[in-house]
Amino acid sequence: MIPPFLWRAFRANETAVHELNYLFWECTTRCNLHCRHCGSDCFASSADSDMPLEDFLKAFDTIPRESIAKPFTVVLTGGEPVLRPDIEEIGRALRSRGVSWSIVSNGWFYDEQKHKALMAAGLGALTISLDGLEESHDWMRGRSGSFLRARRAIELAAAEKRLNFDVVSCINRRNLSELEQMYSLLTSLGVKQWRLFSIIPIGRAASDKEMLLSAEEFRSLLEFIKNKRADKSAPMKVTFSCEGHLGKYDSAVRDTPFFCRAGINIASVLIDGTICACPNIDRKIFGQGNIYKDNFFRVWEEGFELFRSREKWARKGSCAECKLFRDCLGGGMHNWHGDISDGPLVCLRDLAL
Amino acid sequence: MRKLFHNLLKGLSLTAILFVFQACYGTPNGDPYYAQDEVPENQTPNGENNGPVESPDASSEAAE
Repeated sequence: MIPPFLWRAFRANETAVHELNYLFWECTTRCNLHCRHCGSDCFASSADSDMPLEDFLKAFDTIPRESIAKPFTVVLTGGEPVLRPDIEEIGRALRSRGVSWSIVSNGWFYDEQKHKALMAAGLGALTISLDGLEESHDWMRGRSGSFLRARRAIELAAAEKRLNFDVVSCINRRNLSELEQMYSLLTSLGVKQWRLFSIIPIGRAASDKEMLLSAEEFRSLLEFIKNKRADKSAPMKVTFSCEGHLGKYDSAVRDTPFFCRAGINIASVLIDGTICACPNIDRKIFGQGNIYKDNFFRVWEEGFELFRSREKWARKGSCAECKLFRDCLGGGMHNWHGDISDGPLVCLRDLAL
Repeated sequence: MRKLFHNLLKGLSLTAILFVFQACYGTPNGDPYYAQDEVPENQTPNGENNGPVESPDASSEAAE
């Protein structure tokens, strides 16, 4: 376990250096599913057109060659990125610039033909969402058949040795009791990495009580992860997501202490050109300019002040008197929505106590 | 100085785990299977040729 003071020193140094390693591109907001917890409120036909590849590349090419870190990944997200008709072209353009690229997908369109085409275009990493067993997953995803499609995608990806692949699951009141069965299913499919999330009340989940775990339910999720990680011979690594500091559970459910790297190592280009960090962050508050007006790399180097100075402004609401603030800094940046003077939406440490 | 410290830590295998991270709703970072500057040919590992695959249509699929 890393002593907190050393981790804080490391975090401060990383914040000062702010090496860009991870760039989301919200390349479409079209989606074929209608998920109950969607943070983007995506629809089959979006009001926003897909961003042309050349617009994104123009922004990407503001990064000097010598400033492209190793590793560097461009993560295609949405919406459902596999809906892009030029996704293989996108992949090749990124590979020709010396960077990895990856996709977050619901798996619906990820059949064998698509898998081969994406691998041929240099797909390096993939995340597929699975939100429960068949009934729960289809309920959550708003469409019958989505579980079977996701399962097919998982089988294909897990068998692919050249792919850095994981499965993510958003845990809610309905699928919490299915964790053991999901674990068995995923290990039987050959999955090696599984990340679990609780759901923060943003996007469609903001008004859906079935999405949000009680404190007791949240602790049972953390206990599940802790127990699975204690088994060093387990075939699959289980991790909790990066949503906030978890008090006594923090070191038991993650590899390293909590550290929100949004704006420190992570940036995004959103569908309308807004420059931000993770796409689920409140872009109206934390947006840092726009690729159609600003030089992307200059914004990365000189902007993102709110992301890199959280000690100065985030001691608000439930964080005001918190003894863990120096380690948590208010949790994930996506936990700050609307009026940030009220503090973060959720305190995970309180839930985990 | 900070950059030097960052590079030193990053270069040590013992501390490499400090630099492995994954954004909340993102994929694993990087892929160990390609050199970063490798541009894949239009080939799969078993040598089959693969051109682009026709893209699905969200609206028509949604209407299924």
